[in-house]
Amino acid sequence: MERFSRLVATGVRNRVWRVLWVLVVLGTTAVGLTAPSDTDLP
Amino acid sequence: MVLWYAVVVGVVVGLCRGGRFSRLAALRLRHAWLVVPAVLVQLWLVYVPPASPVDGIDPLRLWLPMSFLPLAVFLVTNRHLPGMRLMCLGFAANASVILANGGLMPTNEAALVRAGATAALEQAQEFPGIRLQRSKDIVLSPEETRLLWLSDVLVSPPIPRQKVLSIGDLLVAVGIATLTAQAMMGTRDTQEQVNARRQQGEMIAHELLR
Repeated sequence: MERFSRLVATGVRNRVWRVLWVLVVLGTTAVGLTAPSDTDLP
Repeated sequence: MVLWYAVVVGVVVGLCRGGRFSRLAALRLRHAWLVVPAVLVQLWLVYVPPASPVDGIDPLRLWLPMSFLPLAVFLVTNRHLPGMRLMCLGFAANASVILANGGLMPTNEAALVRAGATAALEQAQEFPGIRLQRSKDIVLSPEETRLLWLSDVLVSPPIPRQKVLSIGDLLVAVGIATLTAQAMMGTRDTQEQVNARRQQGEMIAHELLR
C-alpha cells in the first residue's frame, strides 16, 4: 500500500511538472516569436 | 506580457469547452528546450542599453534574427500540432519585417501616440534612429519603414496598459491560444497515444488471461 501511494505521488508530481513545463514553453514561445519588450519584462 | 495572456485565454477557452488542465501534460512538444536559450538571449540583449550608431551596431540587430533560428526549428518540428501553422505564419510575418528593417521591429510615432507611450515618444525624439530602451522596437517614419503593414502599428486594448503590436503578434497569440485550448481538450497526438495505450493494455490483458 505504501509503495502504491509513493507511486501515485510520484506520478502526480511528474504530471504537475509536465503541465508547468508545457505552460512555460508556450508562454516563452509567445514571447520569443514576438520578441520581448518592456511590458514582457519584470 | 500581452502574449502571456494568449496562454491564459487558451486555458479559459479549454476549460469552458470541457477540457482538462491535466491533459496539457500529454502535449508532446518536440525540441522544446530550443525555446529557452533563444528567449534568454533576447531578454538579455533587450535589457542591455541600446547602442548609438556612433558606438557601432546594436548587438540586438544581429542576435535577434539569430535567435529566430532555434525558434524556427521548434515551430517546424511541431507544425502538426493545432495552432502551430498560425504561429508559423505570425513568426514569418514578424521575422520578415524585422529582417527587412535591419534587425529591429519598426514602429512609428502615430502608433505610440495612440498607445499613450509618451516616454517612448520622448526617447525617440531625443535619440532618433536608436532602439527604444528595454524593447526590440525602433521608431521610424512610415516612409522609411519597409513592410509597414507588418510592423508594430496596431495598438492593444488596455490589459493592463496599451501596447503597440503587429499582425504577426496577433497570429502568434491566436495560435498559442488555439494550441493550449486544443491540448486541454485532447489533441490528435494525445488521442493517438491514448489509443496506443488502450491497445497495449488489451494485449497485456489478453496475455494474462491466456
